[in-house]
Amino acid sequence: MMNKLLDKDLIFLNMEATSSTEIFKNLGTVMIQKGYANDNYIEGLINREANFPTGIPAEPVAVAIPHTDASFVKESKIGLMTLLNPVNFTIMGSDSEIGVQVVILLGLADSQHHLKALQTVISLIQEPSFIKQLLSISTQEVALELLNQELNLTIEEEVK
Amino acid sequence: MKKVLVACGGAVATSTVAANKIRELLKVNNIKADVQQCRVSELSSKSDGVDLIVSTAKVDRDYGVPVIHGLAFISGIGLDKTKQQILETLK
Repeated sequence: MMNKLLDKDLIFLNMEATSSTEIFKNLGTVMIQKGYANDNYIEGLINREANFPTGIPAEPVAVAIPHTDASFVKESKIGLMTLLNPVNFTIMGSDSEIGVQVVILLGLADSQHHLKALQTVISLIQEPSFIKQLLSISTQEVALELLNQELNLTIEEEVK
Repeated sequence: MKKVLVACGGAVATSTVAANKIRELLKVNNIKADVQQCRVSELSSKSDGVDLIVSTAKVDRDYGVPVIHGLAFISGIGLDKTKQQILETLK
């Protein structure tokens, strides 16, 4: 069973981007076009990242977890973008920058309802083997299956 | 009863994860505490009587309350040190 938080169209692999804004446009456009987020979602991501950066020093490469206020999101989704070259993000809670190669979009309309998924994503960021695996994937199907497997390990507790 | 505020930009994602991990940490260490989440922008109105602020976002102002950076709860790097700091602050 495919986890409802996932959508193949929100998986971008081995992309080339020069800025976080470009990344937000790619992921955000899909969120808007598919009706998962409000029309101002991309601006929401850009503003939020400027005020509350989401770059995370992880191994073997840094990760970013961009998100907006829940009010921007109509249907919760988790997106993924892997990057061929690092793109600078500011580290969460600091002024320093870090080159990010994995972006996990947290498009969540309600964190309490998706707490398990959120915790799963955060714990995956802390697993170097998972990040390495993400970087090596070249097809959306494989990435989707991997994310689905990881998220569904916790889905029993989340179904209400 | 100690009071802990866990802050982030929007009280949605990172503070939710950090707050849960902090609740577990305090429970295991037998520290009775009320752990609440908030936005960084709400800190000034909520910091009264608070013993500790843990924030994943930058805290520029001094609220007269110790502030610990909570990035380790998200990155996993330096987590033991952050946990130790929290426990020592709340002792």
